[in-house]
Amino acid sequence: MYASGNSDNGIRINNVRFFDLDTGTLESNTGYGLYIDENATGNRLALSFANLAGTITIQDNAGGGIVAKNHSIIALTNVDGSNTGDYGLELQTGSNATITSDTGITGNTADATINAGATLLTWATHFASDGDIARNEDNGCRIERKD
Amino acid sequence: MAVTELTNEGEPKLKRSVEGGLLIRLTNKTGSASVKGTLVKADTATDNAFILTGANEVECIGVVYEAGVADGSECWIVVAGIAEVLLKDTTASTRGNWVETSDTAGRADATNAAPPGIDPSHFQEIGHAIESKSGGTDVLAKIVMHFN
Repeated sequence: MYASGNSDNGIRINNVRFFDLDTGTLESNTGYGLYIDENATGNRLALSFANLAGTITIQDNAGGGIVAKNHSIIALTNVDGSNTGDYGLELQTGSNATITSDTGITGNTADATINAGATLLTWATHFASDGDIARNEDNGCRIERKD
Repeated sequence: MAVTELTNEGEPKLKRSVEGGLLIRLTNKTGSASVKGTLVKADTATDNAFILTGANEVECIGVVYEAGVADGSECWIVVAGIAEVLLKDTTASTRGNWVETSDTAGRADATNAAPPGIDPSHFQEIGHAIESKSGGTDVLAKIVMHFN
């Protein structure tokens, strides 16, 4: 998979139930490298799941690396790349993510956020050990390191 | 495993511990990396900060919960409920004992079976032991916190 130079997101998922990416590059898009959301007009069967488990680079995206909205679930195993947008990974409203020690995607402001930037999360500090968790009790978002 | 509890506004300064303690987050101004179980009091030089208690301290406010937090960084301390306190070396803890600040800075004394009931020792109280431990070096023992 190669998605580059789009005038919006590299990949946008909100009408499928599962997306699996083993290898690829999502770069230099004006939106996010990966945008994942539920189908706002459908029912909850349209929740989106993404599994990025191979060697994947998400870089130089102006919106940020990955945004997961509205109860989306995402797993990042070996995803790297520096983005010009604020965050490598941003979760919104009830979204969950698992990462591993190999997850290195970054943004211009922080590696990740689950509260719209009120707290800047870094892989090295907040997820230094297997099992480390960050969770937002207000919006239900959660990131867990699971090697 | 560490859990970072957040809200939409940021990281709160109050949470519970799995051991049964109520924690608040203040800045470590002890001059060194934090040591779990040491007794602390409010800093007089910096807002929202703590320093180590002195010998036979009467102004203890809590017990350090996190080890290794650098001086100048925010650190969780236990201020109510169950806390693990660092005993004065070579002294034991006996469950049911009255616990106070010791004559060693930042350390607890859990050797007294009954409270003295007199000043100033009465104001040195930090709680009641709920765990028996033999004396040694850097021994932690559980107490239920109670201040006068």
